[in-house]
Amino acid sequence: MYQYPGVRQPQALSAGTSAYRKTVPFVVALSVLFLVGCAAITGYDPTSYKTATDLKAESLTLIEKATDPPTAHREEIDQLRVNLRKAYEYEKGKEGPNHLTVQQWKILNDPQGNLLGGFLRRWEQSVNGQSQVFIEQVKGNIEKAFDQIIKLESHKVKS
Amino acid sequence: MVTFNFDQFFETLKTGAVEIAKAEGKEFVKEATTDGKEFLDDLKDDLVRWTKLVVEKKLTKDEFKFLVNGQKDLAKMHALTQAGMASVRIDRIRVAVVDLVINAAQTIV
Repeated sequence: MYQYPGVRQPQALSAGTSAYRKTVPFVVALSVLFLVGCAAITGYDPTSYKTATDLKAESLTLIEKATDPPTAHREEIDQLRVNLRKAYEYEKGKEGPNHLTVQQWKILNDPQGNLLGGFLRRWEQSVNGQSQVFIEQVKGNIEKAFDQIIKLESHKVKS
Repeated sequence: MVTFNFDQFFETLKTGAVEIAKAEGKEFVKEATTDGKEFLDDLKDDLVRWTKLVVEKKLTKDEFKFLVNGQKDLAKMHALTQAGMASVRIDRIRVAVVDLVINAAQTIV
């Protein structure tokens, strides 16, 4: 190999030398910091998991009452909306990349959409409540929507 | 005197990282395929049932439309879950590679 005049060739690092003792831990620490520092998605959060499972149960229980006129359950509907909003804000406020979970809550809660937010709006706009058959079918969609949020959270890396 | 070979050290790490990525990737494809198939099967079953209920006049057309549009929203949520699962796999690879670096370093220091 051509040796450039005046350029010192790197010396092999030998175990026990001062350079070796300084360099290896430095390289390892640098690699670890680099790898740890840029997670692709936030880690598993037991609070998020519990919130999603609790809200799933709360939502499905309320949906089952939707054969009644909405006026009979006004407070419960408002309370569920507050709890859904809290869950969304909690996820939105997390540090790190959590936009996928945030987006899922947004779709579920959207009053113009066709899942929970849309169903609550539809119920509120009715006078006599919803039909039993429709409730049974819509419950399936909303249950699956919650399951998507729960599935993603439960698969996140546990620290 | 023992000479430390950085090239060999990084080659070992690289091989290990590739093996980890391969295993995680294979597992992800398997999971995503099964999950996607289950989702489509569910969707098909729902559409068949709802169509039947409309014909029997147990569901109104407006309710049917809400349910079908709900499936569209659900498909978006499913896609977000899949994207999230891919990110989780990347993080798992990252954690495994960190362990690999630490273990490899422990053997030489």
